[in-house]
Amino acid sequence: MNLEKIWLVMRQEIYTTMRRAYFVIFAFGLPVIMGVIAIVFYAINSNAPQTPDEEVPPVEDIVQGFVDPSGYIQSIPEGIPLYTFIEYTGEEEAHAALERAFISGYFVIPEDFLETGELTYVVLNFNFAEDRPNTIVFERLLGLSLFGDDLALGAAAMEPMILTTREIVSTSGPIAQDNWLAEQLPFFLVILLYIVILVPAGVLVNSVTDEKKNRVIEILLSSVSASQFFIGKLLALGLLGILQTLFWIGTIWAVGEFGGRPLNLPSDFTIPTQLLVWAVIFAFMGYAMYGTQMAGIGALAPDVKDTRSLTMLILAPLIVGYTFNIIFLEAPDSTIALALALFPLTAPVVMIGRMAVANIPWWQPALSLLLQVVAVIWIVRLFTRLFRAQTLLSGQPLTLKSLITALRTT
Amino acid sequence: MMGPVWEVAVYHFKREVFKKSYILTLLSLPLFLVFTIGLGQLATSALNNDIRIGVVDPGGFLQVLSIEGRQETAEIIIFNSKIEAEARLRAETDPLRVIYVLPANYPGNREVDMIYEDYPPSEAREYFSDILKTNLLAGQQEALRNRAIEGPLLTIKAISVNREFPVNNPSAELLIPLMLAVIYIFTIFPIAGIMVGALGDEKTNRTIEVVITSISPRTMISGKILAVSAIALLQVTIWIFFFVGAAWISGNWFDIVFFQDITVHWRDVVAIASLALPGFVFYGAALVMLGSLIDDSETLQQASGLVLIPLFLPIYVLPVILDQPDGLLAMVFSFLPITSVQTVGIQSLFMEVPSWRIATATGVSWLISLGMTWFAVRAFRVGMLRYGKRIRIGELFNRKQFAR
Repeated sequence: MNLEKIWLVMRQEIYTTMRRAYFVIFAFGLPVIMGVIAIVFYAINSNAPQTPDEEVPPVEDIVQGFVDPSGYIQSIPEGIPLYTFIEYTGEEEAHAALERAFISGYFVIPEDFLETGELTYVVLNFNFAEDRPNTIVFERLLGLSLFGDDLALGAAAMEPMILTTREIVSTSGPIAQDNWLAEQLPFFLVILLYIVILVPAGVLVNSVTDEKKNRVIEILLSSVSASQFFIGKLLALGLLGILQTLFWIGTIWAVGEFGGRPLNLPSDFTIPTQLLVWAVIFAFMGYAMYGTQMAGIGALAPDVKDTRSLTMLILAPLIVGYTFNIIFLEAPDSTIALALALFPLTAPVVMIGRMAVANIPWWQPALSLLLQVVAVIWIVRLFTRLFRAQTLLSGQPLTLKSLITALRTT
Repeated sequence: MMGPVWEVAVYHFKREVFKKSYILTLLSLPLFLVFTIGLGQLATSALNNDIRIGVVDPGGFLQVLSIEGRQETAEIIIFNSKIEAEARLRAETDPLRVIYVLPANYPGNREVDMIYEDYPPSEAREYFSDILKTNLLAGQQEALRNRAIEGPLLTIKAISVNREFPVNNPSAELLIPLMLAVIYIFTIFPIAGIMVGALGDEKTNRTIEVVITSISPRTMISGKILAVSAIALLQVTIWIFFFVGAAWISGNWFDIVFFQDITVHWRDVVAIASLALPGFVFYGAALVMLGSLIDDSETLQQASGLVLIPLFLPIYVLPVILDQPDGLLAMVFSFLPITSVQTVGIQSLFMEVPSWRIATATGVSWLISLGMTWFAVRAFRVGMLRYGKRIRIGELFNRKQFAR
C-alpha cells in the first residue's frame, strides 16, 4: 500500500475540514464561548449560599411560625435552640405575619397529622437552597414532640444510629474518591467516549457522500486507489475528532483551573493517567470500527439522508452498550458486563465504564484491546472493499439488502 | 396567496410524513424511553434483591427483622461476632453489602459502626434505619410507630407564585411543563434534518429552478416553514399521547404512585404551547436560511448543529435559573424564541409565570420569528440560483439586489 498517497489524502482532508468555518467554530470557538459563559454565570452565582441537602445552615436569625390544631407541640425541647418558633392560633394570623416578613414561613400541622402525616410549610416564594434545610429543624421538633415527655425515645426514633463508618479492602475503582464529581465521572466518561466515537464517524459519512454527490470522487479515484482514499479519510477525521475532543476537555479543565474555581471542582479530584490512556486507545478503536462501517454505507448511499436508517442499525451495539451501563456501573463484575466489555463492538464504552468504577484485572482490558484490534482489521478489510469504483460511482438507493449483497459480492 | 402556500405546505407535509425514516424518528424517542426505563427498573430490582445486611448485635436488641406492610429491601442476617461478619463481607458467594455493629447497651448507647467494602446504596441504609426504629417503637401504638418511621409528608407551598411542591411524594404533574419543553427540544432536531434536507435536495437536483418559475420565493418558503411547523406539531402530539398513555399505564396497571392522581395545569400547558409555535417557526426559518446560504451537506450539518446549540442554553445555566427562577437571566431567556420554551418549562417547576409575561414573550417571539422568516425568504432569493457560489450575509441587506 502506498503510504504517500494515504498521507496525501489525509493532509487534504485535514486541510479542507480545517478551512470550513463551521468546523472551526464548532470545534474551537464554541468551547471557548461556553467556557466564558460558564465563568461569567457561575462567578455571578458564586455568592449564593451553598447548602447541601442534609446540612442545616447557620440559622440564628431565622424566625418561623406554626399553626398546630393537633396540639402536639407543647414546648421547644432542648437540642433545638437556634430557630425561633412562634405559634399562631390560626392560618390568617400566620399569613399576615408572613406578608409583613415577620416570619420566613409557617408550618400547618393538621389535627389528624398522626394518621395522614400531612405537614405544610407556607412561604412566599420557592427557594430550594433555603426552604428544604429550613424545614428539617421543624420536622425534628415535631418528631420529638410526638413522644411527649419521653424525649430519649423520641431522640432515638428520630436518629437511631450515631454512625462511625469504616471502609475495608476496597474494590472501588481508580477514581473512587469521596466527592460528587468522582461519583459522576464514570457517566461523564462513557458519554464522552460515545461522543468521541460518533462525531467524527458522522463527519466521515457526510464527507464520503458529499464527494460522491458532487462528483469530486470521480477525479480523486483516477489518481488514488479506493482503499487509499478511504484510509486517508478515516485517519484524518479520526485525528481531527480526537483534537476536537482534547480541546473541549482542555477548555473544561482550563475553566476549572484558571477561572477562579467557578466550577467548584473538588480539590481532591484527580483522574488516573492510566485510565485516560486506556480511554484514548479505546476511543480510537471504537472510532475505527464504527467510522469504517459508516463510511462503508456512505460509499453505497447516493445521499447522506439515505444512510440514516442503516446508521441506526450499525450503531445499535454502541447504543446498547451505552444504555446497559446503567447496570454495569452498579455491578461491574457481573458476567454480562464482562461479556460486553470483551465484545469488540460494545467494548469501547463498557470496558472504560467498568474501569472507572472498579478495579479490573489487567488482562481484561488487554484481551478486550486484542479482540478489538482483530475486529478493526476484519471490519476495515471488509468495508474497504466497498470503496471501489462500481459502488462509489453508482447512484442506486441504499437498503439493508443492497448493503449485504455488496458485502457478500465483494 | 394562501392557496399556493397551502399547496406547497401540503405537498411537503405529505412527502416527509409518509417516509419510512420519519416514522422511525417518530417511534425512536418513545421506544428508547421504554427500553431505558424498563432496563433501569430491571437493573434496580435485580440489584436490590441482592443486598444482604449483616448485623452484630451482642445485646440481642433486634427482635423484629422486617417491617409490617413493606417489601423487604434487603436481607438482614444476624452474626455473633464481627470477625464472622467481616469474613462474610469478603466471601466470594453471597457476600454482605454492609455490616452494622450495635453496642451491647443499644439503644442506651446509639454509637453504631458501619463496615463496608463499597458504600452501600441509600435504600439499604434507610431500610436498616427503619428496622431499628421498628424495634425501638415495638411497644408504642401503631399510628405513632408508623408516623415515626415514615416521617411527615411535607408539602412546601409558595403562595406568591401559586405553586405547591410535595417534598416526599412528588407527582408527575409537576414535571409536565418540563416534559413538554424536553419534547420540544427533541422535536426540533429531526425537523432540522428534514428542513435542511428538503432545501438541499431541491438546490442540488435543480428542481428549484423549475418550481420557482410558477411560484414566488416567498410562497415557497412560507409553504415549507408551514409544512415543517405542521410536521413538528404532529410529532409533538403523537409523543404527548404516548407519554399520557405511558403515565396512565404506569399509574393504573403498575400502581406507581408518581403517576397517580395527576392534575394537569392547563395554564402552564397553554403557556408552553403558545411559545412553542413561534419557536418552531423561528428554527424552521433559521434552517431555511442556512440551507439557502450553504451548499454542501457536511458544512450544512455542522452549521445547523451550531444553530441548535442555543436550545441547550437554559440547561447550561440551570444552576443560575434554579437559584433565581424569577431572576433577570430567566426573564430575558423567556422572551427569546430560541430559549423561551425551555426557560418557562424550568420556571414552571417553581412558579406560575405571570400571564402578562407569557403574552409579552409570545409577542416578542412571533416578531423575532417573522423577522427571521423575512430573512430566510431573502436568503432563499439570493441563494436559489447560485449553486456553488458563496453568499455573504451582507447581501441579504442589499436593497439594490432586491429592487432588480
